Amino acid sequence: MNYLPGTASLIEEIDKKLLVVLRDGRTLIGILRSIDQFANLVLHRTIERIHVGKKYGDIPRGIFIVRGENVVLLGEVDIENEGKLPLEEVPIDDILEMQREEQIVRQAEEERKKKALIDRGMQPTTNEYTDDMY
Amino acid sequence: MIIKALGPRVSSYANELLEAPEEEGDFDILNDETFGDIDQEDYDWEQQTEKFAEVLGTGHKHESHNDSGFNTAEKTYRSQEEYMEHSISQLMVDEDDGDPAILRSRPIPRVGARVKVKPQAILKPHDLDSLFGPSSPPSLLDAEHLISPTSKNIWGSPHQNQAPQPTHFDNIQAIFDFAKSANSSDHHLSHHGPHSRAAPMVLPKAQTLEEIESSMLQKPRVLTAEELERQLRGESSLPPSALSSVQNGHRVSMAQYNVPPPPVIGSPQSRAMVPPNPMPGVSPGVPHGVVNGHRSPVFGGPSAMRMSMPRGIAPGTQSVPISMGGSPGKGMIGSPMVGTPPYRNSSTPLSRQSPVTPSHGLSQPIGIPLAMRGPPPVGSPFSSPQAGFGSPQGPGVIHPSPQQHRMVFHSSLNDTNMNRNNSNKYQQSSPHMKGQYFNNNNKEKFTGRGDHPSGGGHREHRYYRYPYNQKHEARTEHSPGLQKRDSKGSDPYDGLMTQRDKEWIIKIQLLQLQTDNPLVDDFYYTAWCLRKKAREQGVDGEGRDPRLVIPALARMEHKAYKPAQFEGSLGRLTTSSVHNPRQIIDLLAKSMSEQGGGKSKSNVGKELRKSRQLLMDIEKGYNILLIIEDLETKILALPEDTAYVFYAKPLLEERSNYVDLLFHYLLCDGNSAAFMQYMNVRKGRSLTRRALPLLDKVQSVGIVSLVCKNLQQLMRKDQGDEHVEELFEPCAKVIETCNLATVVMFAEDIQQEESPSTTKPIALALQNKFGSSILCTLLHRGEKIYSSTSPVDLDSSLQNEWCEFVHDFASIVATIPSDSIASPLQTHPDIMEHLGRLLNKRLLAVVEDNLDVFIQPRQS
Repeated sequence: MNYLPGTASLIEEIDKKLLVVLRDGRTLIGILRSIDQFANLVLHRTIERIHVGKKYGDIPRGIFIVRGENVVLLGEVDIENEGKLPLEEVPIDDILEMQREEQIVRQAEEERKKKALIDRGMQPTTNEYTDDMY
Repeated sequence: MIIKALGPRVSSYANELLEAPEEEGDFDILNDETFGDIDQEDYDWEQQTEKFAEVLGTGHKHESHNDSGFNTAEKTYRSQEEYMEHSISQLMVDEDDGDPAILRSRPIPRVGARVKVKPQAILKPHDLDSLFGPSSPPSLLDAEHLISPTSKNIWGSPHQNQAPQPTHFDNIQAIFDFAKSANSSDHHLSHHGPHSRAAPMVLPKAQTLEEIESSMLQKPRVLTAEELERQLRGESSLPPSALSSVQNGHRVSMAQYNVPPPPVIGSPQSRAMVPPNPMPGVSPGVPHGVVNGHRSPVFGGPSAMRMSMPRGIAPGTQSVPISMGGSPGKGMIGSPMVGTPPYRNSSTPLSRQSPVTPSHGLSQPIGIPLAMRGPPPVGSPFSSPQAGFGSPQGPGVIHPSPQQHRMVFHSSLNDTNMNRNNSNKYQQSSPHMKGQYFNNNNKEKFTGRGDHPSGGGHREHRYYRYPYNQKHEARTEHSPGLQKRDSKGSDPYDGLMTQRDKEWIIKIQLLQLQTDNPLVDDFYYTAWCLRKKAREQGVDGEGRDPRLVIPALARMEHKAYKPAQFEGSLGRLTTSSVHNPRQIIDLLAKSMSEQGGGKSKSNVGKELRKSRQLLMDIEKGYNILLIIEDLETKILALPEDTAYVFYAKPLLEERSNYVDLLFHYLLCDGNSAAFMQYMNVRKGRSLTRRALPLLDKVQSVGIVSLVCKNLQQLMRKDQGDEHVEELFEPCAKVIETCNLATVVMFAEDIQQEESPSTTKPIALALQNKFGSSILCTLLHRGEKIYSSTSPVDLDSSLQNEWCEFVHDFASIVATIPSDSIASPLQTHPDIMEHLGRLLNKRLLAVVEDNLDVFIQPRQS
């Protein structure tokens, strides 16, 4: 932004705590240490935060290097209000359990839809190539 | 005779290469097939060799196949230096405008590949750069420079663009050294051609150092600046550790780099600066500018001072002995810096600004390419003098005062934790934000800086002063126990990305931002800028953004890029770059007329096909229109100066061509039916509407005439409010400028249209908004003409015809019930006068009532 208004650059986000959403749906929170021209990210002290409903759990991950193309969005974490989330933190195991359950539910739904389509004589669309969440 | 120059050993390899010696001996190498008509020049190579042998001492001839080539090569070089230079410079035939992507970067040598030398080739002195620089074709194939900011890169890292240029001398020497090292060390490198550049990445060995030393010693006359440098260094004497620790290539180069810091003015100052900043953890003997190979900003002092002096001054101020000898290697030991890649150290030498660059010992082989690099492509942003963390030798636009200012500020800092946090402190300690660590303030500063009139747009960006808005205490929340903090609350891991890295990325990003057509590529921003400018300037005509103009101009100056051609090379060497990708397939652009002709007749009904064809035709017309409008915008965006004429002319020509094309297209050779087909389609109408203002007088009259001729049809089609009325405005404008003859013509056109029903055209027209508007406008125009020109000038026949028309009009108006008269889009009160002029009182009275519709302003 400084050197050319009308643009945005990750340069300004360096050494800041960011929340990064990846294409596979993961949410990472870490300090951005380094970038390159492809927006590959080096995240420091990263945690992966899993959200299920109103609950979340953190898994400390350490240092992440994220390939730029897999980033959906990222944003700066508001340090001051970080603690005031309306969400409830739960232990990791619990959240993983909840995530698994959610996944099961979602898959059941998918199966149902598929079956419904086939019943009506249509081909269910397969997203083989786009495994991404987004 | 390059082969000779590179050493007789080479010729023996060439022998093996060719594998076709008919007879043993050197002579065979020069077979015409490969190397052409050397004999034609009557050059007696044998004689020459003997001469050289004499010069260099006997015995070399018979050694020719055995020695490493080092000794002979070097000496032959010395004696042949001029010839070499000449022959190298002849390798490149022609200097064309060049690929802009290439031109921005600086050349590197590509001596690894063998090229035939043709002495008759056209010579231009600066061809050397294009031949041996990063723009040279083989180097473009080497993507290594893109890998890392610290490797050689064509983007012109901020560090090596300031070597004052007795450059091509440097180049020659550097090239040759490189070539020698390549040849003598590793012959197969030369086969790699473009990738021989990879060789320098492998660190040099002892002989290289010697070579360079000797070459340095041998050639004082060439480089005055370097000469002085060397003298200095000779005096101060390279630390023996540096010289001897050859095995530690990185370190040595580092050392040498450290050794000769400021032969520049300001070193007294810098030395003065240095003492007050004793740095814990660094041995006092260490040149303070170096920590772990990074020049921390605090010690950006010396380098900053260096930077602050113009290059030209440097050679003259050699008086200051170098006090920073010390043990250069120590700076790297015992630093807490995590994982400093060693190669970074070695490349930092190259960031030296001035004459020092080519004369670094071990760094030279690496430095060769860089030494020839020019300023970074978008040099301006990086030419700001701010010495960032780790790269104090940023590009050398000189602003001494901020430098010194910052220097002073730094020296006053008594921060013990220097290593990592230097960057943070530094960045915060801009003159603007002295010692303020804040959170939300940054945002203000941010925006403030954004509007800061910093000497021209992006030229002096303060990008490295990015907001540092993390409240450090809040950091503990998320990872307790993982952070080590010092008392100030700053993160020890901050600043992993050096200033130089950031600059590199920003450079790339800026490069990506450049565009030929900002209105297309970056429309919203462009429009916003224009609007902002307009707001600032008030209503000042077109809000022309000067920044917009410049890139547009810059692009316009490029002729069609012709790829570099090499004379005397085998085959046609091709190079490719961003602007000039390899052509793999020859595709011809399909002409517009071919489109839409390929529809299969079986599937589509005739009617459908016709309508589709019609739509396609309208599309074509629309495309022409859009092109014209784009051209107009471009013309308007041109600056109003002398250059305007130059640039505007081709654009204007193009525009008029297109306008003619458009007109012909619309006119359809006067074929009313075809025109009506267009008019039937809404898009066709809008096309006409937009086109009318662009056409010239004659053309627009033609179109309006067509409209009038088909008025009834138009009106009929307008049942569903299909925007025929849109046509009115441009038509009205046209009519307003017409003379009586034309107006009469229009009137006649209207009247002469065949009317399917018994009602007269005028009557029909009156009942339609569009029609009545047209009539109204016509009458108004008539009045204007009558009132402005004396009766003498008006042609009497025309007057008669016009009078007739008006009478007809009046009579119809009188007979039609006033309800059915559609109110025109524009009413003109002077119609009354006009009618009064031309009609007699009786008729007038009859008509008067109904005329209200035409005369009273619309109440809508």
